[in-house]
Amino acid sequence: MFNYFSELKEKFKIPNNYFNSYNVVNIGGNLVYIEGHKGLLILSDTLVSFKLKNGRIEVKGNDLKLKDLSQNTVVIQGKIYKTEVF
Amino acid sequence: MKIKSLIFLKIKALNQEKFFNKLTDNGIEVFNLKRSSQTTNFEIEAKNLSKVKSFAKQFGIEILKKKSINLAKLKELFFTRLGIFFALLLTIMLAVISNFFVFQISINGCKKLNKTEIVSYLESQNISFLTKKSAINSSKIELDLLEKFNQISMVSVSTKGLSLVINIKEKSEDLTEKKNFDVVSNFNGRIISLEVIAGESVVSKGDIVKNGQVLVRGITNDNGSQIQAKARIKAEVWVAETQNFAQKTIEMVKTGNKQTFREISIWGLTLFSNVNSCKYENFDKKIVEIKKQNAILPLKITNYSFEELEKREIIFDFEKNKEQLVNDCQQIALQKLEKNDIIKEEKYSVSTVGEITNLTYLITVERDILWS
Repeated sequence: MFNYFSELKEKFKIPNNYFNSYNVVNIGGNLVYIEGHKGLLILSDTLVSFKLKNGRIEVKGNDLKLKDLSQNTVVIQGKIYKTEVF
Repeated sequence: MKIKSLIFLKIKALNQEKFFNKLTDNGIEVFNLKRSSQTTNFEIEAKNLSKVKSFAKQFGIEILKKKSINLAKLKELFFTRLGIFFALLLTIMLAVISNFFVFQISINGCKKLNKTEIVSYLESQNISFLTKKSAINSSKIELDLLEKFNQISMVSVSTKGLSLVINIKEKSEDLTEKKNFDVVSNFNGRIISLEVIAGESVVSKGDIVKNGQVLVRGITNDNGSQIQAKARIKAEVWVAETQNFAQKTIEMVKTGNKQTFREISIWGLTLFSNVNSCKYENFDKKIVEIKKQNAILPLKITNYSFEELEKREIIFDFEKNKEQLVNDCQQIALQKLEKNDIIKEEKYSVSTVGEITNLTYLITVERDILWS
């Protein structure tokens, strides 16, 4: 899958420390792109949670589905209400 | 864009998260993953199906439904339904084979020539149904056909699709070649109706014919004797009279200047002569000999007179005289008509080529002709 942040780093020569262990992009509340996850924790149509290097990330919404899931990136599609990192 | 061959799976289990983590850890990408109560739908690439099945077994996950989509579905269709697979294979094979062989020989443009004769000739040259296209030399066939059949004036040979297409143009009959027993046109015009009493018609209703053209051919019997052609023809005959008028003409006109010389001789002996060369560039020469018969001596007096001429350019105004000229032309055209001709139309045309004006008066008549 296309790695948005790697492309961004390469294109604008951004130092590595600018990026955290994970990166999240919310696209119009309909699509959330996460990279740097360490595995799926919770999967339901209203809550999707992933393990991070130092914590976890929760995406809450409605009618959620994983559009694309790979080893460290995921695209969540649905009506996104909230994205929280713990 | 990469077209993926996907497999849709529906599973039922409690610890699904672990199962999906296991898949992603093993580099298996999961698409359109949606969970509803205890079942989950998702898609994987077809190439990963066996791995996914083994992991599912490992995690005690039950696969409720498996469905091939996109290319996988197509592939499954071919390999599970042998009939379709073989039909497709057969079609492809036939298409390939047909690309290499001729299945039909199509001959166009034969009016007098017999197609069967041409086909037989081609067969004798090993060109027939299922001949390899690569074995066909179009140029050679064209030359062979031209050589073999005298009636052919032009021929083209080409392979189109499954067919060998031969386009033939036959030699047209020499219509001006008249034989003694033929009916030959003595007019220019158009045939309105043609009733052949004896012979073979060469022209038909509506044809435009020229003076001297053969209309009906006499028939040669088996024993070699000829039958005179005979026909009743109604035709639209075009009777035309054409006259040319030069816009400028050069005319020699006498200027009035005159030079005279005299010579007096007796028995051929010149007694007196003032004859000199004429000083005019253009002249009209007159010689008058006077023999004095009554004189004692036979004197012969010769008078030479030279009248000067000059060139004058005379401009002819066609437009001014047009009406008269058209009338004159019409009269001449009318004199060419035959008895019982019915005049259908009269018209004239004027055209100019260089300094020459052509006036053509055309009378269209209907004429009944019985030729025998």
